[in-house]
Amino acid sequence: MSFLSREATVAKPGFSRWLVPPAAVAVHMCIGQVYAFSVFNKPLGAELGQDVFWVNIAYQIALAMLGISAAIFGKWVERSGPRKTMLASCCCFCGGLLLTALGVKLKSLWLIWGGYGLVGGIGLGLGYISPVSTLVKWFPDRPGMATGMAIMGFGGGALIGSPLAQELMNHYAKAPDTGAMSALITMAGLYACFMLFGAFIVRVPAPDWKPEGYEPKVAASHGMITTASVSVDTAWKTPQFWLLWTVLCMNVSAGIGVLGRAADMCQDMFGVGVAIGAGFTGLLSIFNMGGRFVWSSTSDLIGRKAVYCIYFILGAILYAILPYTQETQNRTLFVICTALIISMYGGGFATIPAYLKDMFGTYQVGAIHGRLITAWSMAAVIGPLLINGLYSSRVAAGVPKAQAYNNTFYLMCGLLGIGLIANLLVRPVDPKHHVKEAPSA
Amino acid sequence: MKAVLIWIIVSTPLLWGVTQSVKKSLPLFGVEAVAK
Repeated sequence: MSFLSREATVAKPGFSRWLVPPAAVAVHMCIGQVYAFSVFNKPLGAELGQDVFWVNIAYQIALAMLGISAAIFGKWVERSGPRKTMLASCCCFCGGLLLTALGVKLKSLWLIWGGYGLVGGIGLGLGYISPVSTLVKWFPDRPGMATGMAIMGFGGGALIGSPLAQELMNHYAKAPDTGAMSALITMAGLYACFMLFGAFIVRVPAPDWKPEGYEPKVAASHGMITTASVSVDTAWKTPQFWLLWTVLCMNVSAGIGVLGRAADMCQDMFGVGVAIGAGFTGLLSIFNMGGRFVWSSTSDLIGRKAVYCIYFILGAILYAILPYTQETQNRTLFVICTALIISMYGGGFATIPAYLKDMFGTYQVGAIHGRLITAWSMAAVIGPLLINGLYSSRVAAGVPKAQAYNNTFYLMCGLLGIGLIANLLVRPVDPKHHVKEAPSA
Repeated sequence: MKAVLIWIIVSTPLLWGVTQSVKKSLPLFGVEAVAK
């Protein structure tokens, strides 16, 4: 029996399930570094003599690969168990950072795209879905809180990745060397330690294990929480999968509306300086991270469908208020509204695994989640395209920059409206799709 | 004890990251950026 196999990770009786979320957080907070890749844009551009636009393509490839690899390798992840997957994720992600460092040394943009984007992106996808299935099995009574904790780690990864890279580059910089290469190598080493730590401590529950005193509450939730199981190959052919895909895609697209242009928006709408714009981005990052835990934990109490209704309805109201905050120059109200919007953006990511578990059971929920993540990749492409396109067209039409965002905000309301409709249409999965002999592990 | 130690190992970098973001956001509230 291999140390890496699923069998080797089955917890012995008496094992505390509270040791599992830290394993997930350890992996997620490392791969969450992807959100902070932009800190390398200028140094890498300077090292390679390339425009930052071309360097940033590596980030976009990485996000696309996150969705693609999660969708492709989801079934393998379910078969192999969390430890082997976390190790594979560590090899790909940290290997990607090392290849990027080599790309800096050889001044090869292609190596950076292939290293960080392609190889590192596969590490992101594997790492993102690796703990999901395990966590919902350990916490059938609180799946939202458990997956929320892990995905909060991903949000936290950006908070760590950006200042860490900056500090390391400052430490290693020696003109004309920007310190980027040494920083990447150091980060690869640090992240590998944490990811391997996560892989080492992770455990899966025994097949017949359940929390003390736990009984599934089917009747109380009007059938919106199933005790049956649906396989990944069947799940993605059901309307529920595509409705939830739309829910995630719309929620992410709308959040990107603020997140992608946060600093510029604050400066344009309120005429503040660069430092305050950056401060605004920092504050949003905290709400992005905190919202993941708070909202997904709330979903355990009020239900998944209800919490997404809150994201969409409250989100649309808050977006509709934003033009008013500019008109009245009420910066405090603007910050409160956007912080809440971003907390729900994070919450949308964190709540979806538990929603999938409610709909399709725990059998292959990690693999189903992997396929659903393609919605994120899609939103990461269409969101900024829509937002930047609309903003640019308004500016080109002669609208002052301060007001040019208004139409974008109304567009976000529309996207959230589509998400709300999709969410309201979600019904329990037809029993004909259930796996006949429901496997428990 | 083991659980506490594991949680401390994992949450320390997160807390450091949050602290850095809080420092970064201070100008938003009219507080001067912390000098290095």
